[in-house]
Amino acid sequence: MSPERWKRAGEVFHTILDEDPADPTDLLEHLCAGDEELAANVLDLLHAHRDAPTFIDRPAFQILPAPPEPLPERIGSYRIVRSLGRGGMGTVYLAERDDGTFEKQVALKVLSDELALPDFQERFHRERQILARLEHPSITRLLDGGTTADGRPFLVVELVDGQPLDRFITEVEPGLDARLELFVEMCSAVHAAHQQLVVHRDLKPGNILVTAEGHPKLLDFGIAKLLSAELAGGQTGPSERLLTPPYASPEQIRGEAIGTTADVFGLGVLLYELLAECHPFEEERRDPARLALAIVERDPPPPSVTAATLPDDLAPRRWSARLRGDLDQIVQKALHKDPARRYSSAEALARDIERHRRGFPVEARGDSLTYVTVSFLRRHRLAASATATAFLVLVAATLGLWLQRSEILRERDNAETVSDYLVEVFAAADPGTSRGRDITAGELLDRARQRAARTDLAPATRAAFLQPIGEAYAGLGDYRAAADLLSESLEIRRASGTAEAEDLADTASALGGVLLALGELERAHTLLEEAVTLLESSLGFTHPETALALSELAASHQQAGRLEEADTAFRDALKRLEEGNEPVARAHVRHRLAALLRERDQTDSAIELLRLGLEDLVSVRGGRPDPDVAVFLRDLGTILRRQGDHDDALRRYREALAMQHELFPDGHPDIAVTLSQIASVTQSQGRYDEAEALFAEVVEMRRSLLGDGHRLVGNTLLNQANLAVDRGDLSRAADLYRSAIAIQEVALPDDHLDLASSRTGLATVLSRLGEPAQAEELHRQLLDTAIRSYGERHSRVAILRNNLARSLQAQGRLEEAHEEFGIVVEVIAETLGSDHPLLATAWNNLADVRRLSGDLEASAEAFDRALEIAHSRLGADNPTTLQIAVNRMGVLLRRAPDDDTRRRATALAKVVDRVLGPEHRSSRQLQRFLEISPPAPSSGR
Amino acid sequence: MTDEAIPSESVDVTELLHAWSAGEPGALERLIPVVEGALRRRARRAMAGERPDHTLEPTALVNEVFLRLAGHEEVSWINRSQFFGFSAQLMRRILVDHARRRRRDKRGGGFKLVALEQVQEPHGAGTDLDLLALDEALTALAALSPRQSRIVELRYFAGLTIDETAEVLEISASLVSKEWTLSRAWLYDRLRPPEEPR
Repeated sequence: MSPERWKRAGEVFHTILDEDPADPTDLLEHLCAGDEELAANVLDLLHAHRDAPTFIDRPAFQILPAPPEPLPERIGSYRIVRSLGRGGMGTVYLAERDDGTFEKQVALKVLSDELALPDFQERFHRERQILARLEHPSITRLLDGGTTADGRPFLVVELVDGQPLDRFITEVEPGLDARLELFVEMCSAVHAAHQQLVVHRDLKPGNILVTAEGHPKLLDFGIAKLLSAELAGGQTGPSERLLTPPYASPEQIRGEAIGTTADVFGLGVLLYELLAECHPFEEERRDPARLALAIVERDPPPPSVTAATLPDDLAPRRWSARLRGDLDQIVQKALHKDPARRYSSAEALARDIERHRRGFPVEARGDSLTYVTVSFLRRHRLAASATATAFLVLVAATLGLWLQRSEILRERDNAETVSDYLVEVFAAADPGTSRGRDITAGELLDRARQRAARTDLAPATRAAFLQPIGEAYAGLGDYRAAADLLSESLEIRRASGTAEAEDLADTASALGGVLLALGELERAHTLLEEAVTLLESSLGFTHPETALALSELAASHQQAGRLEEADTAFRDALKRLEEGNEPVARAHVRHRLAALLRERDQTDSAIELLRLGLEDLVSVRGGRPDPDVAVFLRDLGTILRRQGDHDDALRRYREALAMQHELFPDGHPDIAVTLSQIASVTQSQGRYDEAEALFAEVVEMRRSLLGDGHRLVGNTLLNQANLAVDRGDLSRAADLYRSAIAIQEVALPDDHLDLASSRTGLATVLSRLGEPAQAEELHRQLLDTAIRSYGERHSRVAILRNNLARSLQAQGRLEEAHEEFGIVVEVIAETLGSDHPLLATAWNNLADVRRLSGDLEASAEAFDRALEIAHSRLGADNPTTLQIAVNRMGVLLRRAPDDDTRRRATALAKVVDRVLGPEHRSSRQLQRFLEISPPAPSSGR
Repeated sequence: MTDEAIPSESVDVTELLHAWSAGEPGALERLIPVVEGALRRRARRAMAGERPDHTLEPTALVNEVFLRLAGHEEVSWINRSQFFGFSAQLMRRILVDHARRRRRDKRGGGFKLVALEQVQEPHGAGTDLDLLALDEALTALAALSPRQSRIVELRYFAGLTIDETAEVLEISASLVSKEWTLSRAWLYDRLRPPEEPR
């Protein structure tokens, strides 16, 4: 058949399907107009369509069955008797220990060969860990575990002599009271797991065995999960999506974060089935799509109604009237769509069942205080921007934790004070108060601060409130507000005379840190010294808190430029931690010391320290996502980036980002920092569009979290401006620099480095746009300031000197410029290494000024050096490399415009056009070089 | 810049995906073996009947591979549709290879035969479906209408829904639906056992 005839056949086929006549013969003949072959073809298609309407509807890989595994003789020291079935991740065998010690039979579960992949091994391993921490009569006990000869993990659990819950119900037909008793035992097993932070996530009749004695045993923690790493609001990854639809909670179906209340939902379904012997969504149960929709959107009929419609000979029919009221309500509450409105725990659910059995009013029938608070937060959350809310929830959690361990909880009525307080703060996000616009975390904190200022709080309580609010302000970067609040807290504590030394030291140290950030170095130093002294006498010299305070003190030396003292103090702090086993504190001090070493250009030692610190942290926290580990990875990335190892840096950043995404809600400030770093590397690699998109994302995140005028917003604008310069878009760069400066002039002290960068950037752009004299003056000031802080021979100083030299060059003062560029090359080679990418730029600049002075030989030589470094460190297709190549070609063409050179220039032009596009500055520049160099004599081939 | 393709996990897939989505020449060639490896492993797990009572949506399979390869990052950087498109081709290759190997095993005999006799052939609408025959028929269909062949590939091998298929091919969902119905009828007509009464 030809495609044309096939097309015609398709048209006829669809026309007939659309018309859907009882007998298609007439219509077919009419449409085919005597073309019998066509008619026959279409008829075949119509028959085929009728015969197999669901042919290949299920994707291929779903219907491929698994080959059975041969029965192994023995695994570990167990003899395999027979297969008990396939479980979630492998095969379960009936096995006997055959070393003669005892004859007990056990169930042995081994990861199947197909699944011996790292993530499954990991899951298997996790199940073992989870089981190991669970000790409960209603949970199968872990007896042993190990690895098979071919490297697959296995675990051994007690063999339960029983039958699955559903079979038990139909065969034994227990009465209602017996069912409720059984259910309460199930709840208690699930609750025990929850207390160990384990969520089962797969409660269903097949996973609950009822023993001969009538007790339930909870099985199969194969997809259970440990909550601990995810308390901060983790995301659900694709491997978390496994579920059993009829027993899945709405949040599981929606792929949202899962908490213990998902198991409460699962218990609710089981309770429904125990009471009514029907699934809550019996009608939809067989159709996964409809079932999923029902679970997410519809309320099931009350079990009493379902039971009443059953045939007479089924037990639930007899007790349907007893279900009405309490039990209906309890089921409904357990099955609530909103996890926050279910029972808060399996224990609470069991308690309500018990209350019902003893005739007490059940919780399900009245709104609880928790519900009121939670629903309040939900109602008001919508008005606050997502990021602000996410951040504030963290703040509230921190505050809550802080309050819990602080003494004020011992005071009368404190619980209420705290909750009233939080409610009032959150009320700021009420649409009425905020007039319908998004509220930032900063505004919410302002509200918290106003509330704390009221005089009806007892002084000790107020001091306790002020501290975390102050620290939260510091977290948002508003150090001024943070300092005010922490000062007040400290004053109250000092005045009371009864504050604990530790609390005083805590506040003093926090305030000291904030003052450091504000540049109030002397006051900071005094406070930090005080904190160290207080802690030395109350907790001891080598206590980790003391060491950490000492390291903060070291940081104040560093800030004041006393780098030697800082070094000594950091090392003293490390030494104090040597004896105790305090890897986390040690890691923190190493982190701070690494920052100092980086500043002193001792990059290798800094990297080494970060690596050691990372090891410390990982030793404690395992491979789990962890905020501190993420920060270490990120800082390691930053040092590597400054060394010019872009790929390595990017890898570290991505690791950090992946962790942070698991740990934090979107829009968290830490995520913004990492994204911003990634954007910078991406920019260095010349992937400008990506970098631009990332910076735009960061700016948005920061605006919505911190407000338009925040210094970090200014910082990001500065980064965007630098990117615009790289892209050659100078007028956009100038605009961005001006916006950054406008913010920074308000938010930063006048001599702040970031403000200086923006001004430098603007000056550079302006000089390129034709204002070099103005630029020179600014550059000289900046250079002098930097020399005072870092000394002459420091990489940062070299970069500023480079800028100055460029402004000199722009004014035609070539000799002066040449001298400065020469120093730049020397210092960069000396401080950053002889193959650092920045050195390529430095050689390029030196070459350029030589070109202008007319010394083409020396210029070409310098360009050669520049290109060599750029080639090896940045790659041939990098924009910087290409720009250097273009500059060099300009000199070569001027020096010897022969055939060969022109040919090389033309070849280069092609590469540049392809990589950067014909409109790019470099492309146009090279075109111009080719135009002005005399054309080659026509030489044929 | 013609690096040899290294089909192992050590390849920085994120980089490759980004390079590919940025249209970098050669990136796709280097990406395919990596994706194919991941799909093979993942499909093998699906075949191993990972939790028979747990559903994992077919698209989720491809998507999971995608997410895993993209390293859980901003996946919007990468063209998801394109990814699904070539995943479908890869899945076809993987599954057809699988079927071919199995046929060979059956013919070749040996100790594996015992185990294999217990293996059911894949089923579709109650009839035995020969994947190799389907593969051939699909190639024949491509000669009549490349688009129809692509639609079957995306639907049947990658498990995409009608809407997702429409998104990948950048045509309307109703057109996908019509073409699907027609292709399916044609394929069934070709593949149905001859002795079955018409």
